[in-house]
Amino acid sequence: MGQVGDKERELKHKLRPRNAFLQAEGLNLPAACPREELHQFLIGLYGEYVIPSSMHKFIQVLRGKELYFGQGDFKRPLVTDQMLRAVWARLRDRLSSLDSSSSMVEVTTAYATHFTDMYVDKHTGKHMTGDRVRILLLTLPFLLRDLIAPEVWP
Amino acid sequence: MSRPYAWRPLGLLPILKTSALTVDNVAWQRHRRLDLYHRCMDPVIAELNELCAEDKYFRFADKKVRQGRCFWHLLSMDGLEIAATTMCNTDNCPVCECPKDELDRTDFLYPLRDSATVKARVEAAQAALLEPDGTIKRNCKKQVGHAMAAVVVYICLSWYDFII
Repeated sequence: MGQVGDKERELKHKLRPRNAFLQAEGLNLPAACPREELHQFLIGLYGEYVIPSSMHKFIQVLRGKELYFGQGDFKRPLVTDQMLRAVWARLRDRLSSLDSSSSMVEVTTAYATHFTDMYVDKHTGKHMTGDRVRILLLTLPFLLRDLIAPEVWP
Repeated sequence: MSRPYAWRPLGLLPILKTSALTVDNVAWQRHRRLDLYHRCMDPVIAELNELCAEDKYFRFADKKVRQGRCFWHLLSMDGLEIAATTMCNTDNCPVCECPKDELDRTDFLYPLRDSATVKARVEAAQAALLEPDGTIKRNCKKQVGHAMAAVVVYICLSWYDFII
């Protein structure tokens, strides 16, 4: 990384090109951005705390002490890794099946895969913007239920 | 302003997709896209500055004329739009100095950033690191270049000693 890149990181602002919005008179650009909603609530509290802790709670319940066969070294979980993987795959498929006529939001398969990469596979390079997290805030409470059994289609 | 003609499209931006460009450098494309967006906003901001520069007289619904001044404020934007407008990465908070790994802290108010300070610091950095035409100064491109040059000189000198 050159000096320009280091400086841009330090300033949290790109040096090229010239920012047109800083030429606006009487407008405090950073202050005009929605701070609380964007990072502290949506990205921070919900995206980085509530969703991972919900997933953690699910795994804790599905891998509870009473859900193990055998004793000692021969203990094996009732909910196998394969079943656990199917739970998250089911959640991903439910997420991607949302459409605007029934849920008021349209979720693509790419978004659902991004969600799985980020929260199930713990991919450190994946992030979500505030509006993308807002979709999860609206939909996850309805999707995070009855995930252990296969879907029953009418 | 609930009528359907209360808004007007200002222009259509060309698609900067990789397949539509002759330059396939991702960094160049990112810079070009950001530059295009900000150059499009230049005339809009100039007109808004002119509109907001002086008081105007408005006739209100009660048929009284009052003196007023226009002001402008940014509307709701999502993370990527804020990143493009403030030219800040989505990894950072453009509004305050909160580090990325502390974004979920709601009990602490980090120092807020303001346009005047950001602008002054950016202009100082631009003067130090960029040429007047906006290109990067030669000695600011890559520090690792000096290290590589030193290695090459060292190898050449070694061979020179060996030959002598």
